[in-house]
Amino acid sequence: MTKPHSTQRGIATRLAEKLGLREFGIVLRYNKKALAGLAIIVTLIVIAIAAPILAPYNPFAITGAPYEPPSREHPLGTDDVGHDILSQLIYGSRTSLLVGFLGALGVTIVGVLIGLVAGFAGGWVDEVLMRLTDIVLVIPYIVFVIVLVAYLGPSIWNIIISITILGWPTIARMVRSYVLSLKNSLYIEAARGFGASSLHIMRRHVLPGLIPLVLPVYVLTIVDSILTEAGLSFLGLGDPTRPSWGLLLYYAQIRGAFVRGMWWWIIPPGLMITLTGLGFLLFGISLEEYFNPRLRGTQ
Amino acid sequence: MADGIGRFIAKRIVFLTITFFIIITINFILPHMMPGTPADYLARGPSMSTKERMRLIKEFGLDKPLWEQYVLYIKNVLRGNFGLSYKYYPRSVMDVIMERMPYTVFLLGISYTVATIIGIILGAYAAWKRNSKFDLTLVGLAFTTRSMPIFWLGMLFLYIFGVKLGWFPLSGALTPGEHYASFWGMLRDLLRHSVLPMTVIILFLIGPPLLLTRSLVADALTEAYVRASMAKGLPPRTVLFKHALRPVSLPLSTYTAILLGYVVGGAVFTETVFDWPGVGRLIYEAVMRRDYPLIQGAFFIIAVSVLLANFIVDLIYAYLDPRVRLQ
Repeated sequence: MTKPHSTQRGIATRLAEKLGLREFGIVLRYNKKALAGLAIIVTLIVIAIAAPILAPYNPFAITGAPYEPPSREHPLGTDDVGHDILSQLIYGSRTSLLVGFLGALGVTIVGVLIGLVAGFAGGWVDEVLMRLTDIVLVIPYIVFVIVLVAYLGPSIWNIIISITILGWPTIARMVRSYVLSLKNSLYIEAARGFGASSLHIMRRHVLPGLIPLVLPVYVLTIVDSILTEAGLSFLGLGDPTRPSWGLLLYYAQIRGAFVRGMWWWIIPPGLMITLTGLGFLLFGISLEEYFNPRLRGTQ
Repeated sequence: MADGIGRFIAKRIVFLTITFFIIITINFILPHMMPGTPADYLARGPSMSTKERMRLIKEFGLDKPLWEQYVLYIKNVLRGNFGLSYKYYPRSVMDVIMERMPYTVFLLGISYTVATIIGIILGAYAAWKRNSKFDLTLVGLAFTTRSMPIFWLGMLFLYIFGVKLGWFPLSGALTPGEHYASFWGMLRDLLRHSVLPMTVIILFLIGPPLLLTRSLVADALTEAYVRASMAKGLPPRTVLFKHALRPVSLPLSTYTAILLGYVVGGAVFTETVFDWPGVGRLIYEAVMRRDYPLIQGAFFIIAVSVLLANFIVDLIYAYLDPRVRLQ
């Protein structure tokens, strides 16, 4: 029983060394961008997990009169039905993070798989996959996602699926060109010469190089996924069973928050989306600079 | 030489055609993936008469086998027939879209051009003054607008400049019921209505060209020929725009083409917030009413417009880059 555990730990430590996680800890101390990004992300994750404790009310319970201004009971007032806006805001972090993480994960998995297949298979497989990539890139992203969700129905899973279907080309191209550069490299040829199996080469040589390449893009894709969810919700295509920041803005827009001058209904959700996006953006860019030192100071 | 460019264009035309048919096919498949029959989506406007419904079912062959439906669908699309809108019944989808098109072209055409030009100029100066306060402010601005939902920025503008200050009209493109004495009177009204939505789209679009120009020019500034032109004592403007920017204009032009799809996304949200009577707002209306023929028609027109714009950029690129011509 101890053996698999110890090898697992061995892999984890090796991976940590390969990625220079300890070094990254030092970088964090000096790179304000990375630190700020990470701080925002961690705070949001804490808010999302502790939502039941932090939120004063159930976000879907009617706890006040409609259109109440901020008060001690309702720090951000209530909406047109009498839901507490602050509670909806706190619970909204869950939806944003869920779609952000899973949407980006879907994009990354599909992108990496297609990139690997195209790069390793070569020939007509590569040709077909790359033309497919070109085609997906010309299709207007947001409009297509809107159409797809309008047909599939508004649920966060359909939003995640739509993000995945349209988002993968960038990563696929990157992974493909990485594989092609590996294919021509001498050390892979040498490994093959020593009789290394494809699986071994995959695990020992391909994957470790893939992580620093893909991880920053994964983090940056979270920003797009979060913005996509917010945008769809704002158009009335959000999951009606989950409180979300986009949905708050949708109701603010159609239920007359403007005419009533209810800025406390309009400003906080947008601020949360922007801050979250900024957190992942800063962290993603820092990761990019960290793994690719040539970029340092250019962004 | 001419052979190279001919081959390049032929390749792009093949790509254009394939993508065009894929867009049609997506449109055809969507209603088939849903519960119910396609007839429920295409021929069931709330106020549609039985006669109209029978006519549409016949036109699109909805009672025929799948492949026949597909062939008929392609034929209909090529003729511009997407069926009838539910919301604007009894008007045809194509008719409704074409009425909205000029507003979107006007709004996006101007904002996209302005944003790209300002973005490139600011990006070049930011690279010149790397890590100065000016540079950091611009980069911060680009990062912030990158993470900000554009519709929220629109809502803030609407609230501050429209509702609170009352400087600009709250919605639409023209004042309803207004009779204009001259063309200029109408243009003035149109411009007054477009200040807010245009500003929002420009702020939204300025980031990517700014950041890209900044990093490309920063690289170019380390090149010997740029340093030589600096050493000659040329003013920064000449060094930047005559020397440093020229070689990077190619990667920049492909990038701005990729941005086109992104621009259209911005239009959907901005037009929705400002009630701008364009195609973007039309998609929102169609989604709200579940007006499926209209959703499909609008998606088709937008996707094909972006495709054609890309094709044009490709042609310009082939003309600008001798490597394409000489291949």
